[in-house]
Amino acid sequence: MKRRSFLKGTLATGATAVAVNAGLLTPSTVLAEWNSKAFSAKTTDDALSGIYGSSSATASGDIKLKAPAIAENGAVTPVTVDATAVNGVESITILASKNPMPLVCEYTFAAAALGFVSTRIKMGQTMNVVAVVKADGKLLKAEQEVKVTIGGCGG
Amino acid sequence: MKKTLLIALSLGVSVAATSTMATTIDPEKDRLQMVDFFKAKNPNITPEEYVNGAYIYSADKMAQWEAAEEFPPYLDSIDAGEAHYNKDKAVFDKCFGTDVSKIRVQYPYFDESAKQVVTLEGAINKCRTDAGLKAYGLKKGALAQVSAYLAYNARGQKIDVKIESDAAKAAYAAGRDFFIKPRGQLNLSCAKCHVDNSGRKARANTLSPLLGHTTHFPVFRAKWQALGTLHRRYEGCQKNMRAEPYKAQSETYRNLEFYQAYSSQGLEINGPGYRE
Amino acid sequence: MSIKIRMRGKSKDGVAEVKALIKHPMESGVRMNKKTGKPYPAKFIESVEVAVNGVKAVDAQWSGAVSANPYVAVKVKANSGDSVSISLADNTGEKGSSELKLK
Repeated sequence: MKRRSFLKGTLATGATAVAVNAGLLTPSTVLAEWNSKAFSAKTTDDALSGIYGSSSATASGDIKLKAPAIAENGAVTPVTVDATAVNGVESITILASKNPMPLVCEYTFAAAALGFVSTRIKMGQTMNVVAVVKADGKLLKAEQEVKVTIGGCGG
Repeated sequence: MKKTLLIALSLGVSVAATSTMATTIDPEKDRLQMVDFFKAKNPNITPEEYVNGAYIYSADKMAQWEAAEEFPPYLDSIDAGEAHYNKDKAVFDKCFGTDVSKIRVQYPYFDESAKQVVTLEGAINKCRTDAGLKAYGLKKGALAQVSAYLAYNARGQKIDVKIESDAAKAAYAAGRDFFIKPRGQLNLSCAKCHVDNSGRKARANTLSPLLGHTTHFPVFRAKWQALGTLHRRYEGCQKNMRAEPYKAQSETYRNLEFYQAYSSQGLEINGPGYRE
Repeated sequence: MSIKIRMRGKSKDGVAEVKALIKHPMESGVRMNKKTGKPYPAKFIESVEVAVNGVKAVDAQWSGAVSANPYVAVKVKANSGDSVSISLADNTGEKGSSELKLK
């Protein structure tokens, strides 16, 4: 399994920059392989090990995790991870604890990016949404239960 | 015998829309009573906020709706509607005039010569078929998209339904009658959920209020992951309530739309809307 | 056919929140087709990249558990007039890219 190595502060060379702007560089030529081992892991621990080589993350109040208490529609649950209060954020990972494959998405940040991501994810049942942040070599996390109900009335 | 909406509701009695009844119906008095009812139910919510439906009852739901509205999924529908509209612009201009921002607010209206309620979606299709074009399907797709395009261009304008003649009043009364009459296997009326129990939960859903009910249509429902017309929603809700639905653009639904639109008189158009 | 991306972004005090709405079914490959008894084939965006003035700022890997017609917002250090680009690819090799000049 190839681990993507993305150094903070890596600058694209002039030629690379031009190629990206011209749309000539496609993600598959720039990025390493999709981490299928982590994405097919059946537990959050295994998924985290697959990405970071470790699953032990410390709960941190500096991570602002925003997710609904009761998802209106589990297929489009809005989740925002704001780790801008944490120094040296390198990566944010979002997991859905009881999804068959908990790893939802993973973001790696270069110097120009802040430790922030907002997106919408699929949650199949009531479970925790888990945000793991890698900063200064350490793993931090925040999690929250999201209740997912089956729709009631309405055509 | 004159019955106000609220008395009728509390007695669970329907008000028959005969022509003699029509003259005793006062839609404006009805509407003001209904606005007062909602004010009394939730003193902290202003009438203007009701255009956001069930979201006004829960901060958690409102936050999710706002998250969706950050970059709403109905944008493609508006673009598609614009494309459809421009494709047959020559035909539509003749029916509606050239200013697309002035169309939505004129509907629904009571056509005195045809003696029936005309809805925007009905008018769009009539415009097409009168010109020899094929009518759009009534519940989703092109019709909903064109309606979304027109609604979007009318956002912020206030609903302004005119009820002047006895015949118009009768149509209003028929719509109101439908709204308050219990039907189907569950013996529920629209009013039972959307007036009496508005804001409370039915299984996992928060019931939306009658006030402001139709301002945001056509609606992009998360459940459908697609756009649908008001009559599509009527049909779906009736089916869910185990009642025999009527057909989209039938007289029954057009009268219901007329009643509902008048009930939101003065509120802002905010379609197309994202809803659960 | 390339994947359609809508972008919005405005710079304030040197930081821009860049929002994107992407048209894509995000089929995970697990959802069952009730009629055939077989799952709908997997078709979901796997990689997303955000660059500022051609320099990569965010590198993301996604699964089919990201919602259909995905929305994503990130924050980058950028000023009005800077160019932010998004490029992505799905598991079938379909790609998309878009660029925005920040207000």
